[in-house]
Amino acid sequence: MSIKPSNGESVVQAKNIIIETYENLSILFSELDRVGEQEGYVTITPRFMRYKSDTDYTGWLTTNFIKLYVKATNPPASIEEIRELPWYGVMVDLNGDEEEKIPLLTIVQYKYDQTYWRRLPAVSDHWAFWAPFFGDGFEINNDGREWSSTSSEGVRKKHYGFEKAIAIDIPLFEVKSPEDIRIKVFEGFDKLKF
Amino acid sequence: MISEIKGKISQSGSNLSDRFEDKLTGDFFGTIRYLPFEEGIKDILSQVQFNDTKVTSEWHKMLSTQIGFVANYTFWPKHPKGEIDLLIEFENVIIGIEVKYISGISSEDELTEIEPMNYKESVHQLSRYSDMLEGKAGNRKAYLVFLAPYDIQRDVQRELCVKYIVSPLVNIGYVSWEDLHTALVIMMQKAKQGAQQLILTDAEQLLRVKRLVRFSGFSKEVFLQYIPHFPYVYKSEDVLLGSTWSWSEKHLVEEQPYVYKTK
Repeated sequence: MSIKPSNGESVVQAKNIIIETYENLSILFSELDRVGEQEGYVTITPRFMRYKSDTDYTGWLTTNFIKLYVKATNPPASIEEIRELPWYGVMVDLNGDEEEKIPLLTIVQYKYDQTYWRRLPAVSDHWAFWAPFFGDGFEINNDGREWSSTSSEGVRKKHYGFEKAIAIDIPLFEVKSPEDIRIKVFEGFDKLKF
Repeated sequence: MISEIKGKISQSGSNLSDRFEDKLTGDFFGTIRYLPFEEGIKDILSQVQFNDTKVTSEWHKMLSTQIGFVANYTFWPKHPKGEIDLLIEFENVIIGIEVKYISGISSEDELTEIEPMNYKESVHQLSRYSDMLEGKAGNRKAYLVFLAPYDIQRDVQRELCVKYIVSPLVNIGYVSWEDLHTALVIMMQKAKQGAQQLILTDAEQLLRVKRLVRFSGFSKEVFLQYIPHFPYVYKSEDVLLGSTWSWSEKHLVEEQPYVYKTK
């Protein structure tokens, strides 16, 4: 790759698109909670989970966002209220994968060994919900847009008792309305069966 | 305009950033009230939701009987119980509207007991305003409307009877800015050319620039542009005294070591 003289205009363009994307994501996350409530789900992470770091430059910009949902009418006040329920996730990833260089919205069902959980998931627990699809030590099966991940014993301990997850990728830009959210995300949760 | 006339925004504009809520209230309702009731405010207020279906049908019936410019609008009326954002008064009905934009409810009660505090003693904004409306109503029907971005509106609606109670003589309803935006889009489609079209379009665009809209995907033009990925030479004559700091000339492969140096 040769160097072309440039003043880095593309940096400014890229940043503008990122800000625009964040603005849209902010509306999307709010809409997810709203449509979720109509469909009988509440979020257990009113603020999305994310990775942030000042020292690692890949943690300067948030490119992966995860929100968790359970079937309930009121937001849970403690972990005890959601232990018996399936945990669902909505992950927005702006990194693109090896095959498709497009942003994705992934719907997930997670299964954790509940003895590892003493409190509700927090914003900074992002890694424990992200790693099953990207980290080392997981058996990841990917069939087109469908994913599954299971953990080995050692990995389980380090990831809050993560046992398995099943997921479906949806191109982010194909989600265009509250109705799309209802059908693709919340009705999609019902299709995620272990 | 209204927020400046009423002195909410100072003449120098120095307090503007603290007064965005008042500016939004004044801009939105101040403009829509230029239209006859049935061409503007009526469909806006139709979006308000009440927990009681009987109250909802009374509300819609009441809205459909008002026409022209019979309503009297008072922005931020002074009252010992506090200034509600807007009072809309008819011969037989009084409506108080409390507006939120960025911040939530101010002055909540400290919950020391299990039950919420009596509305006459509570410092909760909606309790106080319901008391104020009860006093002002006389023989008229009284409604209190809470208008806010959806997240705030939903939380405050949930907290009724948990964190606060309102006068039993006042019906409390809730509506979100996002739903008003959706209503405006529909209203614009059947609006008459001229004043109605212009006013509703401005109101719709105001809510849109404030992002008080429901989700409609990633359809903006900004996402259509192609961004070329050029590596670039990063020069800093001041700091590195004329030297050039070279960024990646080679194609980088993950997990292989590289050395960067100044020439």
